[in-house]
Amino acid sequence: MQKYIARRIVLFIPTLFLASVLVFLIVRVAPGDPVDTFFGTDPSIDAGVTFSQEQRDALREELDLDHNIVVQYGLWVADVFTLNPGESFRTQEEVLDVVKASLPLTLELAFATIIIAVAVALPLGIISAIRQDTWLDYLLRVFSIGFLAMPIFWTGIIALVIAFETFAWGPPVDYADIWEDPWLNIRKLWLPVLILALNSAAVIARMLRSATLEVLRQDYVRTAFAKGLRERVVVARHVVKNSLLPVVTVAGLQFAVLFSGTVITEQLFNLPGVGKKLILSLDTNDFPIIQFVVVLVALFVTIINLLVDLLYGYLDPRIRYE
Amino acid sequence: MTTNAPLQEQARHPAAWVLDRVRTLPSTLWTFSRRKPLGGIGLAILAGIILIGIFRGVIAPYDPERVFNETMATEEMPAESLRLRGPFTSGTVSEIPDDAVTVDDIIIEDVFFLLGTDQLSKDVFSRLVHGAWTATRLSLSAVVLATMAGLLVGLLSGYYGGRLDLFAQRVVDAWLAIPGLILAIAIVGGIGASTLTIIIAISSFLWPSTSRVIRSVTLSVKESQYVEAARALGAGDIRIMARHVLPQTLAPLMIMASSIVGIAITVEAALAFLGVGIPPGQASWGQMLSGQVVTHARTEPLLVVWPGLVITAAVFGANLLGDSLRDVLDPRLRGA
Repeated sequence: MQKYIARRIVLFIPTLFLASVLVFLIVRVAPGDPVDTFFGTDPSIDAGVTFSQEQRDALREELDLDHNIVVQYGLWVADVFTLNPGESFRTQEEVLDVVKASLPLTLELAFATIIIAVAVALPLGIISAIRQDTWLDYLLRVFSIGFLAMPIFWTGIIALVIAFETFAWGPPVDYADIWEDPWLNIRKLWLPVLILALNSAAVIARMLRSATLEVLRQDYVRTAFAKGLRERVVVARHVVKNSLLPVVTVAGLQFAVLFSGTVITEQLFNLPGVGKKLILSLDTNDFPIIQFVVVLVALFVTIINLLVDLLYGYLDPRIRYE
Repeated sequence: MTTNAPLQEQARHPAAWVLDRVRTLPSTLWTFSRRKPLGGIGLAILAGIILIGIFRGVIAPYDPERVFNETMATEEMPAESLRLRGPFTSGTVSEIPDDAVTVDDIIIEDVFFLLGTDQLSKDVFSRLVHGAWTATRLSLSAVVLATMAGLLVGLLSGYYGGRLDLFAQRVVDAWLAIPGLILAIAIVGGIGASTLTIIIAISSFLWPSTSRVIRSVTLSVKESQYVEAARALGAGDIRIMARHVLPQTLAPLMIMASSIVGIAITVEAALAFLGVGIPPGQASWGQMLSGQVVTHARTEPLLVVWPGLVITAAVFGANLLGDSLRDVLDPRLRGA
């Protein structure tokens, strides 16, 4: 097991390094001069205010754009590692403060979603498999494929309209941290979490269904039935344990997908999370924030993937000795 | 099926093999639909969208960008009523041509809005129809780009192995670490939104998973005895890859392609919703769900319902097709 852990961690470092290079390249080496993008090449955009060459040069220096690309990358990585990603172009806030303020909400959203998604998917997937090709199975499958097909923001808009029209309910306008005002926090977040969770649950349930079907065809399951155990006992004691293995992987992968989902729900429900900040920064070409947020998300996803791998190795000894 | 194609069949000229496949396509599709009705439905939905896209000029009654504005209002249809009309609205509009001299030159036109008009007084139905073409072009381009890149990397990485594989797989890992939509947003935000950049953005996060699948197929085929035999006969790497490994990747590629179609359509819509989608001037389903529309959702819910339904149907169709293809083409899952 130690060897397995060591090998995974060794692979983790280059992945993270390459991910950071990727983020850097996408944001920095996009065509066009970031300084031009920031000030705008068209003077009329800024309502007649033209920026002097000095202002442009100052920004260039602040962004380390006067160095070559490798040095630029090195300086940026050093900044990120020392947790000193600079300040926002637009608002002059510390990027770190911006992220600190918005990250808890996004993490709360993501974790709540995964927990509810797994809770919904477990019965759906298992029942669908043990009642394969019955009307119940078809119903559950149509439900899960359907939820997969609906765009999250569309489900969100429709849910908001229905909630308003039939129950005259709308999410509260203001937002509070779960520690500050739990009730307000829950009232604000339950609908986005539910929408995200149903989408993820559909993915997990489908995976669980096929995993369970595979396990149900194993010899030891037939033996368990043959020695007269009731279905409930066979499923609960022999089948579920093994069919849950792939679910660990899928739930982990869903975490990465969820970050995409939270960007959308934060936008739709006006939640001050990281995703909302990202879109806002994108509109204003706020490079320091975009870069830091994306690399942070990549870091989270890589860590989650590492944990999933380790957990998987722990749960399934075959993986360790591969 | 293409997997486990007999040796002598592969030994024939590739062009003949492809021609054979094309000739028997209708009967193959028919057999597939009979065996997997749900897959047949998925196929029909996607084919329908492509056909609607191709014949958009015939099906759509109006130019999707045509604004039925105030100047066109008649007594029967005052200006304010041209915006946000419900389904089955009919009436007349007037248009004054640039070279109009007398009152007689004014064109009076009967109009009929099957699904009503949007907040900019454009015909919703025409926009949906033209959106089908945008979706077709977008998803087919994404399929081609993502599968080609995935194929190239997966094939080389799996076939040559060693350091190349180790490095390529770390790049793939890194790429997968950035959530798809966020990567797409960053790319579109960095380069600027256009149909091309959106295609690039969508393909850019779909190729890594494709390459993973192709790599695993390549790894297993590489060890097979017929590849060994081919090598013993003196076949070079390129020949083995092209004639023996490539055909085996066709089945997983088809499965991947159908899921890419679904993802491309969803992501286009999501990008549009976030305000970095296809720029105005080209009707797209995502665009119909973005911007001002959302604020009108409460009073005009149908405006939001139509494009959403179409997107859902398209993605649903692609998923059904992908599932059934997997059942048929992947022998490991047969009967499961």
